[in-house]
Amino acid sequence: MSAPFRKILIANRGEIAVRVARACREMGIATVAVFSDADRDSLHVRYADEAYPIGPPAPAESYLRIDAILEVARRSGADAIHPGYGFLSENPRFAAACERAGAVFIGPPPRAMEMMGNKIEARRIMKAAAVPITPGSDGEVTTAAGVLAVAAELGWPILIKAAAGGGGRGMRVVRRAEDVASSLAACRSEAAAAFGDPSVYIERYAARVRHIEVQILADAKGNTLHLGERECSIQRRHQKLIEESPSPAIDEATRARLGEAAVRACRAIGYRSAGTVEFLGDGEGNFSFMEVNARLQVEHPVTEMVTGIDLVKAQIRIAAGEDLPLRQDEIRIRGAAIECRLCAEDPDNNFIPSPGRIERLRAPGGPGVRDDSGVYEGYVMPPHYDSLFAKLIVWGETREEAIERMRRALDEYVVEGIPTTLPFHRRVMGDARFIEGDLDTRFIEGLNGHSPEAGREATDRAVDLAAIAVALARDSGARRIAAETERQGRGVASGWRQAGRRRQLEDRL
Amino acid sequence: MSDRSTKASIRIGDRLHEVALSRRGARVVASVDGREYRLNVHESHGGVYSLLPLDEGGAQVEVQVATSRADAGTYHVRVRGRAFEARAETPGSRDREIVLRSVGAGPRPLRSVMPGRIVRVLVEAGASVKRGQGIVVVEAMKMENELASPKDGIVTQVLVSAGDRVESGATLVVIE
Repeated sequence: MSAPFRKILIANRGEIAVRVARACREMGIATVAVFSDADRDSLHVRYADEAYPIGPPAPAESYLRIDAILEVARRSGADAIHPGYGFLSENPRFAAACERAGAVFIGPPPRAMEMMGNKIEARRIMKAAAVPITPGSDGEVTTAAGVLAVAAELGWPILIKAAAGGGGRGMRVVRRAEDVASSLAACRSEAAAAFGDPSVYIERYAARVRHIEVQILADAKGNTLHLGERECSIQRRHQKLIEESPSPAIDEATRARLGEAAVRACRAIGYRSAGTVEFLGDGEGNFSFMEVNARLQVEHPVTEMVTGIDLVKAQIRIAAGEDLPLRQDEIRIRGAAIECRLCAEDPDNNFIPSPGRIERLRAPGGPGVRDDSGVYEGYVMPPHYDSLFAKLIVWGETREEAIERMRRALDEYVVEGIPTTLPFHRRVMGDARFIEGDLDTRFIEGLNGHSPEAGREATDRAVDLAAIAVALARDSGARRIAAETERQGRGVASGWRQAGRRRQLEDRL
Repeated sequence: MSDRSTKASIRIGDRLHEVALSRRGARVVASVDGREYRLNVHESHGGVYSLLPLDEGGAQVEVQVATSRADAGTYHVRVRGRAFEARAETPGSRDREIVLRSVGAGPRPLRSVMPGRIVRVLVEAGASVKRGQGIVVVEAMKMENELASPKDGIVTQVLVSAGDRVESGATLVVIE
């Protein structure tokens, strides 16, 4: 098969830029990386055939600059642009500007993005297409009296959501009538500041929900397929940490029903490329439309693992005008896949971000294990971007095997130098509720314990060996300092070291 | 190659372990609270040890030791799937800890626990604050993080303002 494009510019960074570059290389397509001043040493630059600087570290001055990226497309002669996720991926102005500049945008048509960008409009379209939506207001709500009227119908609590919001931002839970006026005002002003549009609407709020999403592929002729669902209920700050496919809560009939609703949703907006339709489940088999993510998702690999379809290659072929080579009845979900997001965050300290140098790195391997990473040993993670640095994905013939395999792979995974979410994932994989598949978006609150263990019994061999290793490490460290002192003659290095250490101690006092 | 002996007190959880090592090349004889282990030790790179306990048939255990970024005397240790936090105690360190605990008075710096950008400073010099009260909001990795006061007291110095970039460990505010 001939390559659909000659050269693709990847308008992103980190693991997703690496992921897209891998697909391009396998297809014989040259790649162009762009990088900010903070990313000269990033892995995505090294995996590209060409690389161009596009500005200072702040995203607004580099990865979000449409003019700078299109200038690189022109200079490099790229005939298509892949936006990855985040940054400009769901910006209809960028998609339109790419087409005007003569480069194919690898994603949905700008019009489809616009239709989904406003959530009030999206709800109206979905309702018309017979896609179930969350009970809520029919349109924008501007007054406290308007909110109270909707709340009287829905019951408390309610959710005030920004029409232009997304990614878990721009929403507020209101539990009683007294708080309506102040919450409405705050939400409108936050929405105006964050998204440039103060419109808000109301949805019923359920504390315990499942987050289920359906993967879609659609070609330019309107052939639209659903590729099964992903369960994404394990979240912190409304952002996903663990995803799996299929969902343990969905049977064959529900899968077909959700898939058909997702296909209707995409047809209603003339969708093309890979996309995701998100639903909320109430735990009793009822699902309602939440939003369309008009891009490749972070968690796309779990779908790739169970369907055998490379979604990035499919996006590229669809963008080049090729038809989908499959029919719905040829899509098979085989086995189970789980993804754990590895983030530079401290799970024992409220997931506080922890950028810094990766001193030691060893990724797992073996059967059924996939590591989509954007870092290497010695790399210093900059503080300017998302904390996600790698995704560990496993496949198993059953969900049980996938969990066992994930435990094994997490045990093999070594990242030292910065706190990461690895200990959190190890905990979840041993948690009874997770193993049962008893998931909802507040799962993390019920997860107990923290990672450093105490000795379990009076004589615990693992504890003894740990103590021995620490003594060995201290001894090696002391020898290295002694050797260095000797080499440097008058003990200058050691003098500095001692001064440094003394300062640390004084600081602590 | 000559024998080399060392001793260390290692705290894991709430238990203090007395460790004595005698090493000769790869051969290490270790005792932990009197329990003796004869080991063949191989360090692949800094802090990663493959241990062969010679009295347990062909057993092999990998142990990884990393020093904590925040605290030089603390180690993160992994033994297979288990994670431990260990502290090396020196003769002075226990006294120091006692001193540390008793020091409630005096100026205390509020430091940034991460490199990032100051979004907001929530207090002014002269303000009286409670322990746990939000003092400064730092943004890193697209997240805003509120840093809280380490003690009750008066804000004596505010060293940063909104928009400043700070390194990990930088003093932001002093509270007395």
